[in-house]
Amino acid sequence: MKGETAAMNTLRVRVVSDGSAAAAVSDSQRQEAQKSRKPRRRTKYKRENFFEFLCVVPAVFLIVLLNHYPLMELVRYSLTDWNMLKKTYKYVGLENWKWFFTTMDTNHILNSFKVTVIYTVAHLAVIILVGLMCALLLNRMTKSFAFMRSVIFMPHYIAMSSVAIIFIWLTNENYGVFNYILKLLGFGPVPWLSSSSMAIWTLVMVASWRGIGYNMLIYLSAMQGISRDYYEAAELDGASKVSVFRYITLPLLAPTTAFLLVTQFISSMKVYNIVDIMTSGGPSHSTEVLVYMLYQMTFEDYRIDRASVVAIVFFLFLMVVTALTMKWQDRKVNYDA
Amino acid sequence: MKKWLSLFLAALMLLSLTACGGAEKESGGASGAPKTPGEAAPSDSAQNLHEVTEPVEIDFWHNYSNEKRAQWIDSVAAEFNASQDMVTVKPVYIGGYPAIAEQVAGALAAHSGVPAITTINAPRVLNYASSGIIEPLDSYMAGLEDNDYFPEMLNGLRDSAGDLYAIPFGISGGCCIYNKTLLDSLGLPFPETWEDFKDWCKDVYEATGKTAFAFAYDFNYMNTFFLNVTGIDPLGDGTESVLDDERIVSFVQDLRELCQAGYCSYMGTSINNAKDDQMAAFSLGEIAAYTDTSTSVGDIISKMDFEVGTAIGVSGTDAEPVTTVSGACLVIYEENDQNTKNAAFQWATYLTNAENSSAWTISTCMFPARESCEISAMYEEYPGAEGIFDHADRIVGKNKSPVMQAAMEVVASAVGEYVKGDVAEADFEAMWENTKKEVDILLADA
Repeated sequence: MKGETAAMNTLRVRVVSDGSAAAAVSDSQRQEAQKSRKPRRRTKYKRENFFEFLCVVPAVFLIVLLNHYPLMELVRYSLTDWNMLKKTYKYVGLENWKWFFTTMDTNHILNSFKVTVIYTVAHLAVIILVGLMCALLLNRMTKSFAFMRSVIFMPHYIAMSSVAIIFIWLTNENYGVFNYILKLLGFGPVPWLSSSSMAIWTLVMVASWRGIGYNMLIYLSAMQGISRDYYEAAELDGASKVSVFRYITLPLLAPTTAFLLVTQFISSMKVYNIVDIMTSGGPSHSTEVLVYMLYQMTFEDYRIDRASVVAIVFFLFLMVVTALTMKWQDRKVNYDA
Repeated sequence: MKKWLSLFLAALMLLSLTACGGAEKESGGASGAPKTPGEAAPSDSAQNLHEVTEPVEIDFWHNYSNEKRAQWIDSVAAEFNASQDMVTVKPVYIGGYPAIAEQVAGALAAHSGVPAITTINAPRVLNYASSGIIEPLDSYMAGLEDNDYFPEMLNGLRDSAGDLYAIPFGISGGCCIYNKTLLDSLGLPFPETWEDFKDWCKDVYEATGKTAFAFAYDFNYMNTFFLNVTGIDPLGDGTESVLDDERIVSFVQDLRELCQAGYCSYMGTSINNAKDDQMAAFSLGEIAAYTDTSTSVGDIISKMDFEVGTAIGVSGTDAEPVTTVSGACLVIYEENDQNTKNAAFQWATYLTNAENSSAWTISTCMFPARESCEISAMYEEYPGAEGIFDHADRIVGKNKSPVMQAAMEVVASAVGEYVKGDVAEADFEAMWENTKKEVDILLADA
């Protein structure tokens, strides 16, 4: 019979070390025993996984609720004609998107993008370069240098709104301290905030004054992590200070620079409060950054439908730039040192 | 576990897309059916529109942070509450106009916590009316026995269809404030016509070496000047501007000449900067006169160490100068039930009755709401204020376009650039054409 033949074919005799013959065990019986063990192991594995999943769910839920859900809603609003004050709205398809691309110029959207990019590039350049310079200059563990580091970092403690209010008066064209000092030095008054060509640079100056200390601190921490061996080796080889900076310090600070570039870029692109307090987007929209324009569109004009389109495009732009920066980072920045 | 997480995330995303979906979303609202602005609220047939039939507590949101003003409102509310037992008013300070607007927008979007009545900035009335969120008040006013509100003031709070949507409360308007002591000593009284104004500026400058008049970057004040000097509204009928009108162009070019010659100045980049600069310059004697809001008059008169004079404005036509309605008014929200709206209207008319309105004007230097108001006591405390407050009948409404504010800001900004010399004379035509184009797009988009 087939079964008997199969059993005989798989019959094996195992001789154990003490010479006694063990009971013959067929392959099929072994497989049967294994199968009966697997469900228990899989169940335990599934139970553990599910428990881990449950632990993570609240955090994921919060992230989705506070990040992803608003984004989904934004996409939905962009397809409606919702005025925040009205009780009814209807879906209008891609009308708002058409409005965005056809009136980008006349609705100051392009101008706001341009102003935001100019502000961001200028702000980044100043805070990173000057922050690095301050870190290099003050990278010594003495009391006087520690004091100077504290002084440079101090503006970071002051809320941006307070800074903006103080600088409104410091930069006042008629009664400000800056123009008073310029007058004493024999120069004429500078229209810090009242000139459309000057206002954006004044905002960059104020924001940079506040931001340099933070970048300096990050660079200082990174510099503490650079091994002294590199510098000693360079000294032995007779390298100049400039060469040491260029070939040792700068490359080893690349990860820190990349980190600051990404984080400060996103933060600069989202600038709002300094513009709202100091210039309200003027004069003549010369400081009307994108977030300020969004705020006006939403809370002054109540056009949340159109503001959603602008917000989504802004989000996509930030995402693309950040992704490109990350990609560049992967290629150019060496984290191994 | 990754599979579970992915499934969970996907489910949440899909849920968020469908959860609040639907072609149209409508709130409950008092009457259920959405109304178009201009129609009287379909009242419950059993209820007289003025009558409060059930005891109700209503929230009154206001923007007065000044202790004296907030306390006055609280005391009037307490009096009102004590005088009857159907309506209890709870005044709540929310913040400035933008804060109230934000809170109201949030409450309306959430359909929860919508107050019965709030103060809002007068220019917002049109926007709110066109959105259908505030109650039209003509039917309420029709039942009012002592309706002696200034008609022009009320007209300023009507929409383009002529329906009334707000009650005047803390109304203000642009005006001119001048150093009377200085002008009397120079023998150069503040002028009444635009032609006299131009000569007056030159004379004051030549006599003192200082700026005669300071204009401000402010859409309100610029709007008033345009109206008075040219006799026309730069925004036309609200669908297309008339910025290319000869009279408007001539006025703007005159302004530039005056500023470039040093006789006048154009201050500020935003409203706050302008006011602070102007007050500082005025108190230091660096300018002889400037444009400001009527609510500042009391403060200025009491703080200056010279005599202050006031005027509504200067006219470039045969008409008397006017000022346009600004400041705060009271609006009742459509979202609430009829009983609440009736209660809110009762409170609004009590707050703005002749006695209370007079007391409010004397204390705050805001325009009185009613013709029967008696405010002569104000001139004892603030001598010189009669130049404005004797002319409460000369408050008129602004342009009825819902984007009037945004459009006038564009104009004020362009005027500022030009008169300060940021735009060359040769480029004025192109610049002004662009300004008109921008304004017309805004008006058409509204």
